[in-house]
Amino acid sequence: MKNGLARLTKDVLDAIAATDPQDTQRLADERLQALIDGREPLTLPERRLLARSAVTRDRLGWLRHLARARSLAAWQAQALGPQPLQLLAAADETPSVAPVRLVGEHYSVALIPADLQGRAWRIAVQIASPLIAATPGGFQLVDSEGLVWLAGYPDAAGELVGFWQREEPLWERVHRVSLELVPQ
Amino acid sequence: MSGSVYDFLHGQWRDYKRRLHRVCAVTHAQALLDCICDGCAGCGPAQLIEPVTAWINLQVGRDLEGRIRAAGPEGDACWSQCLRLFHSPQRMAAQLARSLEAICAAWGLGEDARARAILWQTLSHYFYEARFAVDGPTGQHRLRNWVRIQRLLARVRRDLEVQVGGLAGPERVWTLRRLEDPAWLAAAVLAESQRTGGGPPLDDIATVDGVLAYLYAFLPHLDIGDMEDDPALAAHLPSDLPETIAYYVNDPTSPAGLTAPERAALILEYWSEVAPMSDRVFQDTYGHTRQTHRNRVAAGVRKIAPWVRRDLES
Repeated sequence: MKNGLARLTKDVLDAIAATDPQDTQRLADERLQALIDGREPLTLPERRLLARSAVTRDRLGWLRHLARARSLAAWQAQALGPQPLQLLAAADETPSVAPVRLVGEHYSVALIPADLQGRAWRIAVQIASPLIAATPGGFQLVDSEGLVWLAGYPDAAGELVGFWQREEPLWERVHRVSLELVPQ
Repeated sequence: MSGSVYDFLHGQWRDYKRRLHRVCAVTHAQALLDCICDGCAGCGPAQLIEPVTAWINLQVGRDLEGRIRAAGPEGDACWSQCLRLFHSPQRMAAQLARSLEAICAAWGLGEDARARAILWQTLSHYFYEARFAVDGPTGQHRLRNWVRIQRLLARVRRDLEVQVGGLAGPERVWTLRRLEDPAWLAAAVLAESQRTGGGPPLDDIATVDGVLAYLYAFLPHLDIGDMEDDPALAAHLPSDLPETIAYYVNDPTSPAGLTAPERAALILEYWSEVAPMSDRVFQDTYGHTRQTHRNRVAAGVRKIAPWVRRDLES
């Protein structure tokens, strides 16, 4: 239902766009870039402008795409490209639900159970400063099946924190996937 | 109009493609899909010319002309350039005929997103060829750059395929998806070119932006629609927008004035998980054709849109 409502929202906004031939870009590139870089979230009036303007949404989509491409290129140029972290081996050493800590080059991941049954998990990613500097658009922690575990911007200490949000038990997934940090 | 109008190195072609995507695959896709699948299933290129011509004249053409008028003589010329690309209904029909079976199979099962995606892929190939027909030769130095990028792309593909050799299942699928990700491809091509360092330096491909421009200009299958469907965009919309829209659907007293069948169609379309099924099964299950369902959904969305717009402007 959540996906359905997101789809309906998009279709309604597309219908608004179809009846507005005079639509133009309503927010400047600099403002959109500040949003992408996580420096300044949109105000409510700006969010309304974005909803009304397909041209502005399309521009934001393109600038996000470009920021991601630039980050990927910078990672390659500076040999920063973080390698995927294999969860299987780390999880196998701990027979039941338990904290997992994975340390890779330029980032590390900690999975900490927040209840005894292992339904709730805190996910913390510690990211090295050169990687943060080359990735102004923020990060995604994504697994090898394409599921996004966490997305956002690291705090001043270089840490990106969130919680497991899915019905599927994290502990089951841990035994079949690896994790990778990518630009969002 | 003289000279080369599509300066793809400055992102113009990508911008045109984005506009064409919105017009062809979002706003007017249903009209075309209804014509070619419900009215002309199994048609060859010759029989498709008439519905394609009608779609261009009555749907896309009017829409683009409205946008050109709204822009005015001093305004944005991009819509005029887009309109020029619809110059050959015959070629568009021939291109559509090649994918008709796949498009209509998806449309017939109610897999609308998939049908639109294949339709857009097909039209992208038409626009790619139309660009050269309208715009003339690309220019020697650009072709030389593209040939070099193609060589680098082949290496990137080969390396990734070696890398996924030991993978299987969803992991393999996920890794191979990179080959369809323009941002990843552009970064990998650029890195490959800098690693090898062979050949003369070419200014157009010195940056990832330059490589991206070439990829969008020369690889018609690269999907521009992914950017519009970027789920992260929804996070920047007003947080109460989905609930407001749900109110217009669910509350019979809302000013949108949906009829009961329109409301039922919207709830079925967006709140239920309807599995792919044939038109006949759909009709047996729901008591009306899928065409009727689609028309009711479209009418409902059109009725809600102005109220949502008003809310956003208030």
